[in-house]
Amino acid sequence: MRKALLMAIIVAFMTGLGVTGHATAAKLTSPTVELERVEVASYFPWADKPTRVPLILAFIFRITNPNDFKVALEDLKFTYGFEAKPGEYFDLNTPTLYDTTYIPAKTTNQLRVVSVLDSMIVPSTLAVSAGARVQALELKIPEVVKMWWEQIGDFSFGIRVSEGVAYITSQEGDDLVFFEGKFPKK
Amino acid sequence: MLKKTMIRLACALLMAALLPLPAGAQTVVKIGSLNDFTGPTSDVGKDAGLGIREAVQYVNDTGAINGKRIKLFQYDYGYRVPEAVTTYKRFRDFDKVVAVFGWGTGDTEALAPTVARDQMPYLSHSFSAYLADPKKTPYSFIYGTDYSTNARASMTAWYDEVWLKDPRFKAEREKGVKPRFLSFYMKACPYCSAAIKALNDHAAILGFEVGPDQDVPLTALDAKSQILAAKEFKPHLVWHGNIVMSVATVLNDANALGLGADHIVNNWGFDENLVKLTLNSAEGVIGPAVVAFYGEKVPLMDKVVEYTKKMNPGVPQQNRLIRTVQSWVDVLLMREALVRADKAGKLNGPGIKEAFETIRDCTPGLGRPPITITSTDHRPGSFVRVYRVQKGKFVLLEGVDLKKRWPDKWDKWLGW
Repeated sequence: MRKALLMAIIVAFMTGLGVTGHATAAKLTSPTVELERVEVASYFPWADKPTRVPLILAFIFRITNPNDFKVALEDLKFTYGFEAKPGEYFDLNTPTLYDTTYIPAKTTNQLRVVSVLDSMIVPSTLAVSAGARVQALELKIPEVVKMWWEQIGDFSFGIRVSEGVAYITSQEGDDLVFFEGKFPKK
Repeated sequence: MLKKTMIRLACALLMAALLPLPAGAQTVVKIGSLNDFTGPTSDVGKDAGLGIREAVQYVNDTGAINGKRIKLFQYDYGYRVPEAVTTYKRFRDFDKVVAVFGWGTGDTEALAPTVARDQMPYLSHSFSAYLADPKKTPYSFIYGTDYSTNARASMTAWYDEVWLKDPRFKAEREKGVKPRFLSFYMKACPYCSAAIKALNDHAAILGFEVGPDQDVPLTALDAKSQILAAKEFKPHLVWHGNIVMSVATVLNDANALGLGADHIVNNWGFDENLVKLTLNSAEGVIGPAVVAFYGEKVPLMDKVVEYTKKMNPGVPQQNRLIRTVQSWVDVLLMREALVRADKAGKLNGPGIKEAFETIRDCTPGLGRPPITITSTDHRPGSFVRVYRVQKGKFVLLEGVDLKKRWPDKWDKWLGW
């Protein structure tokens, strides 16, 4: 009896304190991250310069944990861009989320990431990060930006999520999960 | 008896396991990071931001801060000073970070008095010389040689290796002609104008004639009017104080309109993208690099490349830049200070500041010349490698050590 108690206490200590550190990542099955949809979280109608108009989007992701234990989403980052011509996307922002979110075993969580674009900033983003491509495609930056703001409600152009990375931790190891997606899903 | 002792010991261990950590004990080290993923410096800012996150992961995977993981709070502030100030307050008041990675010159300088008052160590990607004088900005640190030092070194390298040696200028040298110099930069931008005072001072030291500055926005896609105005002065050498896209625009227009000058570029305008965006217009362009270019064969570069592939496989390797490498040096210098502060039992603002100021001849590799930081001088060094683009590659032109070259002036140049 005493031996059993002793063993139980020692085992409890070893596991409770995590003395052995992380187990190998082999026991952790990678969770998945999927773009479910994009929403206009709040809308302000277009106005010409010098008025500053925000465009507030929400990206809803489905995060599925296939494991028998909970996992924690420690941070998540992705880049999103809008379509200016068929098949021609321009990256506009790279939001990062670092709130710790737990996903229970065998569960799918929805995660909402809100991101704000600014009608005064987006033109400079296009100029500095893709100026040569904009010129090659013979696009007029003010016209493209206005079109995006005015047509976002109908999602008449594509929104692309790329370079997505989620950092997952768990009692059975850590993992990096990569994802990308498009909305609307044509 | 032995059994009783064992049981008591096991009970004591179990109790210890169940007790909460003592107040103030840290299991993670929280650090804030202000980055520009969307604003007018996003052409260099995105790569730098990715590099910060990758380097933090490397630190956490390799022992962290004496076993304490870094928890990174990374924000895009779009290069807007008010946004940076607001986010800094969030770092300070809610995230409770112990230090901050900064980005732009305008916001870093604007925050300098606040971080000093808050005793918040602030390691910046802005290399403004103002941030290197601890009398003015005691909690501000930089990991690369400051803008003024870089600009003086670039001008010196052109003077030594081109003006004094190139047969193109032989006739003018023999006639005693002074080299003519002017600058292209966005005057309203603190980063772009940060080195102008030092450059004009250096031009006087080297005996240059200085012409009228040309105002070019960071977002310029056309600079023909500025080129035509500059042409009237017939410059031998021009300085570009903007970042890559804008510098590329000016170089392309200068080539098309036959400006006929040589070019030196500030470090944030001089990278792998400049060559891609300008093709032949970048040939012969000179600029400083505070670390190795991405993929160069230098110590630790293998880890940088490994982590870019591991953490951001969706970003093509050919799009990665020297900015990633800079961020690694940024993070590894911070790690050095945090480890020292933690070992001293002072993982707090004053303790981290003190730790930074004990760093002597220390380099994390990655082509960063050894860094020394003291309590009276936060400039991390005086040695600058200046490169020239030759056949689309960066070739070392000259290593310039300003302290050795002008020992009587070096101390006086602190902070401007």
